[in-house]
Amino acid sequence: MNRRADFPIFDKKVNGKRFAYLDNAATTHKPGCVIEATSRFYSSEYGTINRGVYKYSEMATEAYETVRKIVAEFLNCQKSSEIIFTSSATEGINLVAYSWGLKHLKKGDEILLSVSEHHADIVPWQIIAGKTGAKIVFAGIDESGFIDVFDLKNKVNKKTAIVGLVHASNVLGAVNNVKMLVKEVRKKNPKAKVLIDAAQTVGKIRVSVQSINADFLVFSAHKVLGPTGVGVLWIREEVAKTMDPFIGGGSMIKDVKQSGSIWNDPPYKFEAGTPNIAGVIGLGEAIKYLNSVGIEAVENKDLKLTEYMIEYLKRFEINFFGPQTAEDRLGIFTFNIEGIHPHDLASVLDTEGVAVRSGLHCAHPLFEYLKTESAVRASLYFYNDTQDIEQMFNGIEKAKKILRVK
Amino acid sequence: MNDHLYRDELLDLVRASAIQKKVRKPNIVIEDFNSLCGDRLKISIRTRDGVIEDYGFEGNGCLISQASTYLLKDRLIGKSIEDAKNVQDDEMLAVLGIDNLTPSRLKCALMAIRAIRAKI
Repeated sequence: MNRRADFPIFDKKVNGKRFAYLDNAATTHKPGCVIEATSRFYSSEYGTINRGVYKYSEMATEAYETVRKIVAEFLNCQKSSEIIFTSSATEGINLVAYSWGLKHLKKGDEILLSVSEHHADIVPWQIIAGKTGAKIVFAGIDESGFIDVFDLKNKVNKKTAIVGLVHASNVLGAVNNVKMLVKEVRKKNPKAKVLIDAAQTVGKIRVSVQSINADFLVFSAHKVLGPTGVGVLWIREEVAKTMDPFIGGGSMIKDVKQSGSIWNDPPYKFEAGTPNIAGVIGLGEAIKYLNSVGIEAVENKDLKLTEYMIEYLKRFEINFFGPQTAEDRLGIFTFNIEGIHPHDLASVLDTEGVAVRSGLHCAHPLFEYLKTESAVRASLYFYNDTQDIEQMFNGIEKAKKILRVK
Repeated sequence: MNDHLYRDELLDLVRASAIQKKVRKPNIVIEDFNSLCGDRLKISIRTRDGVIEDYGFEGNGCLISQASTYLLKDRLIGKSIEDAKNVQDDEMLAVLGIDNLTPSRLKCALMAIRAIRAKI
């Protein structure tokens, strides 16, 4: 399967070289159909939603709500009213922290997170812990980089109010068995709520909210071929009913009087203001495109490229974090070349047309845990090919020469 | 575009010499951390009668930030703190001999001088 031609950006050269994009864990490129869908919306279908009886407003409302159904189906969620559009996965977690956390957390409660969480699933909880007096507890990871189920179980107790778990780490690539982790949490404390950060897995592997059986799940449109500025938050219906609104304004109310307001029902209760309509429409198109490629085909391609990458890393004797076999991981590889600072390597690779990430990858606690100052990350998606990987390793060889490292 | 980013003089400097050093009895110590890349710097300065007489740094970082932090030495020793804080970004880049840094690499090159300006 070669889908490179579906993405207009790859027609471009970078610094005169073929563009090898290996920063897919940060953001993905957009197929032509997504770009066209958002452009078409603005040029010939534009209108606001839920506010007009005229044709273009009605059309926009229908298009927007259709995407809610497309997303629900994509996540194997039975009720599309459980799908909330936000501005990002980060905003989704903040929404849960404020709307659920401020309402339900009290002094002495515990917020349990894994040490492999992205900052987006740590910092909002630190803010809410500061406001409520709840305490944050961290569960560790095992030698392979998976959330340590024994440590997690040990840390669930009567005081555990919410558990935040990353489906796949953006540094380690390890795909956690969140279905099993949720089950274990519920066994020890049936009242504890569970949030899954699926930013790295949705669009890469099949993600089913019914199967995982958590209470909240977030992902981000721009990491699944969609536009920036759109995130998705799934909230279990019974839980959503117990939550306060996040931000106030239009759409999220049934009625407003001088003396107070009556909140709208979910999902609208959580969608104040005019949303990113074009972005949501772009997300709908991205999912349609992914469905036409087929998630299984995406998974298979990722597996093949991951195997190829591991082979090369081993040949070059480069150690990488996370699971060492392709089956248990996504194509997210974080590593260091001895004697070369990650930023310097990334700069040389850039001159070779290769885009990788360098730094701390918004996961400072994890880097502290791994006792690593910073690292380079190369992350794959199905539109990559073996040539991209070869180009990176040729670039690494060049960097060693330029920077005088053996 | 980055072909002369890693010019020989800088590589000679960073690869050949021990550029980090501790300052004896510093009276000014500044620490800085770049959360994007993880670079950590600890700059130590000793002044006498308001004039910088010794300067050194420790920490980890990329070649650009290490070299620029080291090269700042010649710009600072013998100067007053006020003059030190007046060293401009352009001056720093001229010392490095690099004029085509991207915005994120610019942060590496200017990390030390910006820390001195902000934290003394």
